[in-house]
Amino acid sequence: MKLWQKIYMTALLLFLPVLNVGLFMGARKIFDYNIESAKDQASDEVHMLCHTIVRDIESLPGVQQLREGIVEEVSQTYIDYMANKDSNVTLEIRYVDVSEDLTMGQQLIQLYMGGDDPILYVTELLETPYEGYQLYYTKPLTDFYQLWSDLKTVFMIISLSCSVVLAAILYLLLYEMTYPLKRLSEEVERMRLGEPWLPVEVEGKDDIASLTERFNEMAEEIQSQLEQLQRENRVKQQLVDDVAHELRTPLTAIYGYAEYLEKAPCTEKERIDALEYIMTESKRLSHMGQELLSMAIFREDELNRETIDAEAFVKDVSNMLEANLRERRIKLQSTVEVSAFSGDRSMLICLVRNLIENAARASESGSTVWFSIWEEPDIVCLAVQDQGIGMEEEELDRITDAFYRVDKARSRSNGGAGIGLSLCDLIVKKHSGVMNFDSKPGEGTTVTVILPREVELDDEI
Amino acid sequence: MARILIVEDEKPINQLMKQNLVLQNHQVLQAFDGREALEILDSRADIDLVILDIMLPYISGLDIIKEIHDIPVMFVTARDGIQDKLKGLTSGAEDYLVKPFDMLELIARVNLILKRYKKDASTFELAGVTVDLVSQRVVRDGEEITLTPQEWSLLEVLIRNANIALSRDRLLNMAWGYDFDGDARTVDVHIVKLRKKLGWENQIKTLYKLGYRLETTQ
Repeated sequence: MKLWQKIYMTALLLFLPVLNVGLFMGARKIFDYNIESAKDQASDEVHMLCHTIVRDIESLPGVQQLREGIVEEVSQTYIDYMANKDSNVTLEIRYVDVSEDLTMGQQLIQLYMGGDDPILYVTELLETPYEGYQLYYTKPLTDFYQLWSDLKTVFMIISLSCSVVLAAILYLLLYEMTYPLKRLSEEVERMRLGEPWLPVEVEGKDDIASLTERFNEMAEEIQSQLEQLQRENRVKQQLVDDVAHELRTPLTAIYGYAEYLEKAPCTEKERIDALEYIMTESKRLSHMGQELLSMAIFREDELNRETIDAEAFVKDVSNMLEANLRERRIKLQSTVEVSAFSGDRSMLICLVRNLIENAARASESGSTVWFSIWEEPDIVCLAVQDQGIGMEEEELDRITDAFYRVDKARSRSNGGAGIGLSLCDLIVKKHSGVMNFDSKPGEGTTVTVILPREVELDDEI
Repeated sequence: MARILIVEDEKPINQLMKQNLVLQNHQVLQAFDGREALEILDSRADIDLVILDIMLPYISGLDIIKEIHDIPVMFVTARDGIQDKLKGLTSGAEDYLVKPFDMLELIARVNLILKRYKKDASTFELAGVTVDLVSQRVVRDGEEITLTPQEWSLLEVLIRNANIALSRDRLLNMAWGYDFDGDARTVDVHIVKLRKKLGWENQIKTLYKLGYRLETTQ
């Protein structure tokens, strides 16, 4: 059962009996009061009659007073009078000599409830010296039962209509008041089924309104977190797909050539070529593994910040790249305008090495790659410039995606696993820096890394 | 033998497929990107089969296949999701090969497509022996040679996988069927018989640890 229905039933169950009992008791009270007043009236009337009869007799001349049957005579006048006045009432005077129940001036009032109508009996002894006489007053209360049933009907109608009106009002009120709850629960249900949350309108300032407001906030929060999770999941899935794809290609070559060597009758040239393919593809695999590993490590690692001597840094980088560059016959020209800067040394070396390797790959052999470090207020800039093939503007957005290749045919034969730039992107973000690409097809590319200097850096990515 | 165009941007893999198909006496043409592939297809009308990578520079394999009519196409790709496979097969390709693949798998699938298109060789000649693969007749120096059904199926397997070493287990599977419960010696016995009947003592080579290989080039 719903809350509003519960409240409704409880309120009705509590209120309706109280109302009906109250009404019934009220009716009873009115009825009783009416009976009482009928009794009083009769009693007064009887008392008055007794008194009047005695006075009337006493006002007669003395002889007459003692006449036999005088009491009956005088009374008869009143009996007739009463019969005229109220046909229901019967008055009787009777000589009883000694009454067992009554003393003088006392009345006996009885309500006889048997039969169709209640009958009211009132008896009173006349005053001395006529105390042997008793006046009997009998009045059937014909109207009273009628009154009672009328009263009951009226109160029943009142009770019923009150109940109905009350039930209806309560129903509407509760339904209206709990409607926001209903809306809220509908919306939660919708969200459970995976549909997007639509904010529930908030009315008023009661508990339900504040609950609704909280729900709206919570749903919004959940939704944004969900979306972020889904986004991250998609990126991860893409990465996994790409890794699988990129692993398969060298593996196919390695396995295929090994199988060829085993099963086919090879010439000497074929044998040497096959072995060379196996070796280069193995190297490519291992290189890719290393880059993926450093990516995982760098992602997890805390930034190990230290002061780096710029000259030594550049020297280290160029030593590391020397063999590679010489093989491609590419000249590296470095300019250093900073004495020192801060950052994670191993990460930054990896960054710069990757950028220079990329530049070398894009360049014709015999050309030059420039590397420079300089400072501006609050920032340190590292830039790598080449005069190589360059990139289209729309490609620049995607180059930090893992395994994205600008020119598939060319860059693969130039080596590289395809995750270098995503690694660079990660390192720069770890340093709270920015990486900018400026490139034109055919004219070359300049990559500028801007690192904030001497500030509190958060290590979050 | 058939003329096959391989379109694959990874040079090592392109070369590998070429070498494998050359072992089968096929003629192989190579293209390393989409444009090159279309140029070759435009200029030549005698290609029997195209082996096509999907992710290619300039023009993707799925676009290239739209330009190919009347030539069977087999996709070779590293994408093995069911969606990718469906996309490849519903685009009109005959088959779909996923990297990394086995040499025998490549050859078997190529043979199957060629057979379906009746582009496979109907006769095989080596060292004075002519084998008619359709009518299953073997003639040595003008003289017909009778082979038992088992010898014939072994010979067919050897010819269809010429120049590739086949282990005894493999031969058992391929020539006798998977449910055959014989041992490796059954193969040895039949090989000896074949060598004798065809005079291929030097052509069917025994390879240490590997099995047997029918060599067409000496």
